[in-house]
Amino acid sequence: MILPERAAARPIVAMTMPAFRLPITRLLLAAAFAAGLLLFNGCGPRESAADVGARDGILLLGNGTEPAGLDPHLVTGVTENSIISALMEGLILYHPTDDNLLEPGVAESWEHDGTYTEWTFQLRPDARWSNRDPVTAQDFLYSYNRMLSPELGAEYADMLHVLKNAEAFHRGEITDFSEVGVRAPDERTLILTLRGPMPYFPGMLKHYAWFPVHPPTIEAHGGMTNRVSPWTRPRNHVGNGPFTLEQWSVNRIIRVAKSPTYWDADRVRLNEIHFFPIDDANTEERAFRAGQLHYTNSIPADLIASYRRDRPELIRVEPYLGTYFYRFNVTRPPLDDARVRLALSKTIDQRQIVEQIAQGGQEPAHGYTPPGLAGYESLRMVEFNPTRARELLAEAGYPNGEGFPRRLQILFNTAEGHRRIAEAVQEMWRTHLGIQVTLTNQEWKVYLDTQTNMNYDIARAGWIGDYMDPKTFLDMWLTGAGNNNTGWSNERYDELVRASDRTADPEERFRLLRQAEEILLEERPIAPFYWYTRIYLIDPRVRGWNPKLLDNRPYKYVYFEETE
Amino acid sequence: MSRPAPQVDLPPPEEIEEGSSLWKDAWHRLQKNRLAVVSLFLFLGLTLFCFLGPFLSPHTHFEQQRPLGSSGPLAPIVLVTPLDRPEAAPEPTTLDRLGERGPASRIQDPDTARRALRESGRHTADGLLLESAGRRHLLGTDTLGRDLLTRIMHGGRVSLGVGFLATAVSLLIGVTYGATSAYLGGKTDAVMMRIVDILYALPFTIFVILLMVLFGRSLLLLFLAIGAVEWLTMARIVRGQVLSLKKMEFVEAALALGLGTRRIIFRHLIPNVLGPIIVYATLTVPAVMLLESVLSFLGLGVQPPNASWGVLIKEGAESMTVFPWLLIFPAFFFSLTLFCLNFLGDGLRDALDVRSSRD
Amino acid sequence: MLKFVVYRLFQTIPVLFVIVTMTFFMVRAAPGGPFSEERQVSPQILERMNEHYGLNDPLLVQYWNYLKNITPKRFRPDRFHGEDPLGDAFGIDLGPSFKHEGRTVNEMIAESFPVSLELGLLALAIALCFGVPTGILAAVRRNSSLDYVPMSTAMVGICLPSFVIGPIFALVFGLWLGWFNVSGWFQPSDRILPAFTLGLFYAAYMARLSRGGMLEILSQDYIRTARAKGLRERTVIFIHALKGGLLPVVSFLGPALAGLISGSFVVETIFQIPGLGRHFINGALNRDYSMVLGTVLFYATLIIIMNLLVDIIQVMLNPKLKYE
Repeated sequence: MILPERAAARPIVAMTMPAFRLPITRLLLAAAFAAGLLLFNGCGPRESAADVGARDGILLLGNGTEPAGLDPHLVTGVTENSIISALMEGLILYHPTDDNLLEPGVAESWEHDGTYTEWTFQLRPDARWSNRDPVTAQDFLYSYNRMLSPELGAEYADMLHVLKNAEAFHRGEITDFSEVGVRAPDERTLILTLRGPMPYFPGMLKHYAWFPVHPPTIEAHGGMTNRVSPWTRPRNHVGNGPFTLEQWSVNRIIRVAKSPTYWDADRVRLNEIHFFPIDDANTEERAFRAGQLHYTNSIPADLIASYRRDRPELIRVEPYLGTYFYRFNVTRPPLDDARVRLALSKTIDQRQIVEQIAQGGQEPAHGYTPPGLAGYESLRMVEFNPTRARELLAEAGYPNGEGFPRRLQILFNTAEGHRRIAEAVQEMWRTHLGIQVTLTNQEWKVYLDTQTNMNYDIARAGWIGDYMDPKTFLDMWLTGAGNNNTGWSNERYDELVRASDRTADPEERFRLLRQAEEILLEERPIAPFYWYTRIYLIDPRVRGWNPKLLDNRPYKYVYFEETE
Repeated sequence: MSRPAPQVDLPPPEEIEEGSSLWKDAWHRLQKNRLAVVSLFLFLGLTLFCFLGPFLSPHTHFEQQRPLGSSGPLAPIVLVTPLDRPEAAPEPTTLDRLGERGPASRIQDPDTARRALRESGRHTADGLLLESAGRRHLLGTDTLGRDLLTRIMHGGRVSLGVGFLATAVSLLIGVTYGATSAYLGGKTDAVMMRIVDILYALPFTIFVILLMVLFGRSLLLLFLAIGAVEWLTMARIVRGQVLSLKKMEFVEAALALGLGTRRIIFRHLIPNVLGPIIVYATLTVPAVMLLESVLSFLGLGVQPPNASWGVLIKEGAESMTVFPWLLIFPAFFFSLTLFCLNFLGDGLRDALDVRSSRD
Repeated sequence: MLKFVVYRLFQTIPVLFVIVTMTFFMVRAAPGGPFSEERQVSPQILERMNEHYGLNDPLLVQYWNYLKNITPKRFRPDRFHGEDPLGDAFGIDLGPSFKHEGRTVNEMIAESFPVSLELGLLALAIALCFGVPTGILAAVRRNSSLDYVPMSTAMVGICLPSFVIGPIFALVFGLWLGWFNVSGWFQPSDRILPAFTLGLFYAAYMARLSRGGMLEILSQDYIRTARAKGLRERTVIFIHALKGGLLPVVSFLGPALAGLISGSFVVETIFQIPGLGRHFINGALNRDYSMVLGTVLFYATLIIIMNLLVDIIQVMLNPKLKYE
């Protein structure tokens, strides 16, 4: 470290020299600058922010991009979720270790009517808002009313369509909210009536779309359906989670502190959490190494191997409920031929892509729905088989790629990782099938627009599950579904998925959904690549941070422990 | 000798024709500047290297050997064949990666294997046959196992092309525009400079996205987009210089002789501001080459598997802590080119400087 | 001069009007909207969101409303402080951000501009302190090692873009030497690495431009005359040559300054700085219409003011010129 005396010495030396000749002037300037620099930092070795945090119970998290907002009814992203889950709490919480399990939140207990259609929740008496108001069943009523108000335009409103009459209310076909399947017989009882049987319904309630908001606060800041409301600002915010919002500086920091009013405050061991919005993975990794963070949201792909080799205690690789795949536009020949699509899919060497390009310990996808959903085993239908692929291509009329009508285009959004994979696929198809494709990268919004308008041949895509059920992956391939974007449609598939909605028996439901997924993979309007992993760096002193398929953080279980 | 300037005594018309000897003189003077001559030849060599190199290289810029991804410069290559499947195609890896990736990860004792390979070139261990295959990649490979040198040469074509054409476009527009605006002055100047202000302020990102949507992607568009942005500062610089010159006696003399506006601007004003123009032009070349990589981000630039120096440097910067050569080599060629240009530019400036010749 | 300034300020109105108009229709023409996401919302919800932000009105109506909102309605410079200086002092309303729920563009600019201004001025100081003296020295001691070494260094500075030099600074001074934080904008010392990353690049530019400008001037007749008269070299350089020699630097200064103080996206991203540059670029990438328009308008005003300043300085440096 630099000693303070040396810093002070420099300008004195410089000043005693004649300062009127140019080079000397420059020297002087440089010396003054150097001295200035040293003065800032010449105070011996510093304790890093991570050390201080570990001692004082302040968790420092890298959190990706700046959150678009903190209103649980309006946000859509993972970034926002990881902050909101510190500030707000729903009826049911994410279990600290396993996303298939349920953990009581505001609801103390719950039961269904035997057909999984009507659910009754008992709210805990000590649930409090951060202004000490009790959290009541009426608050939930208000919140669901808000979510479903057409005027609000909440992005995730359709998640609540499972409630009876909710869709009609949301479309404005009925205007009386009392007709929607939500009732609050008393302050502590909430009864939700669904439009059909849903054994997995409680799991869905973990999603922030189902979180309550504090009605008086919402009303005080522009009313129920105002999107540009300042209620989420630190001085206005009222939440019911384990932490309260203390500071929110855009692109700088979001600071939350332990809430004294939280019903389970005894269990909360962190005093503060600081969320740093860091877009750039390299910047984040440097900040982690410099002791400014306890946790990084991501890690640059090139560094994974060296961390795993040299610092395995810092890096974690965990399965994530998501699939990386390519969409085929089935309305464009020759991609309208399932054999061509299969041939293309079968010549993607998933193992090589995972091992040599993505490098994040991802699992090559042998089906579409990722593994890890209790009771639903993922399918084994996708494999790398260039021989079979060549046969299929020949059957389709293009032996060795001859006569292939035109150059297909692979569309991807601009990102280093996507580009590398696309280049590898381009080369795989060239060598295995003799097909030439071109690559097109587009800026994010243009890419989305191109995909929505189906103005592409083959497009990169990814999908992350919202809740622990295969439907979060299979709904999107229904005919005309908003996220289908391939033009693919199959009556039998639609029928099977719809039938599963009417089935109360969990096993029978999964059987139907598996059949549907089999059809999807036989027809292959998409080529699955791999199942995502979450790869991040974490300070070994952070405890209670468990691998979670849905990447959620039950912060109240997180604590620090000094390591040897 | 060349015409003295500021030109108080304007040459009779026949001597204006002889003005072309300005360039001849300049060329003679340039030849005397050793640094500039060396730079010139080095630059020509680099250009040839980029345009002819890929034909001589045993590799192509797109062929991938993914198992060899990100191997260092001159890394010794080892071919790995499983003994139980001798007919299978051997998978390449590098000596230092034995025991790490792919089939070679089965090797338990990589150090012994490395020693044996160095000595005899062949080694059998853990059910694998290992054979040395020499060193194939002079500057190593990129993340997908493509030869870096070939990619640099190939990328140089795009970068040099873009760099020069776009700079030429920006020079042409910027100098003409700036000089005209300054010389005409008054309301015309005001309007012309306000147009520059407007163009400065328009959001470049959106502009590029729109260009792409309207016209699709093409290299021509790339030059246009870059040229359209880069000429603005040039115009302001030239305008500033010309403003200070146009009140000088030689311009008034030219006016008195009844010379046309165009002739005054191009024959008398611009040659006198060549210095700053050349300096700024040599600064524009690197700016343009790097801007190209930004355009690639927006989808307008070169498309993979092609690359440019800007793109290679950007990629290299991403992984510079682990694979520094991926940044160092492209950056080296990039810098070398700009150094040549810079010294050449200085030499050219001196050579064209009609005043210094009187020393 | 006052007349000149007033005349120029008068010109800004049509210029800003053209900029707003062009930008307004350009962002609307770009594919994708503020609400398009990978997980698409249903058309019905999209309709509602558009309704909420007034995006369903005819484009010309929206344009007219926007123009009305951004027209200054009062002039109270005394109120130019607090969370919304633009709104309080002039009644300018740049609208709500489409991306950042519950925030207005006014307040986001008010929050981020001081950061960019601080960074930009620091960088400018660095650029001028290092660049201009180096360039002058190189020109005076032409073809000596005092010319070649600094100028070659400057070339390296130009060749290494900030996305290379920034991470290198962070690695060397942040991680290895441990002098500074590698990212963030909290302590005074957090300013140094980004300011140098940004400033050294411009310093290199200024060095080259001032060297070029000085060489041009030093070969002028009046400098020869001055020298012939036996004036001291220092007087010749500082009193006579500098004025003209710095002209290219001054011309470059306008756009450079506007660019510097309106933030640099790359440096702000590398060092995690909450400046205006990120809003400027991310606004465009997010199709945050009001953010794009707001930042462009702001940037345009800056450019115009800076170019006006530059024109004034040019006249001051060269008394032969008149304000036109």
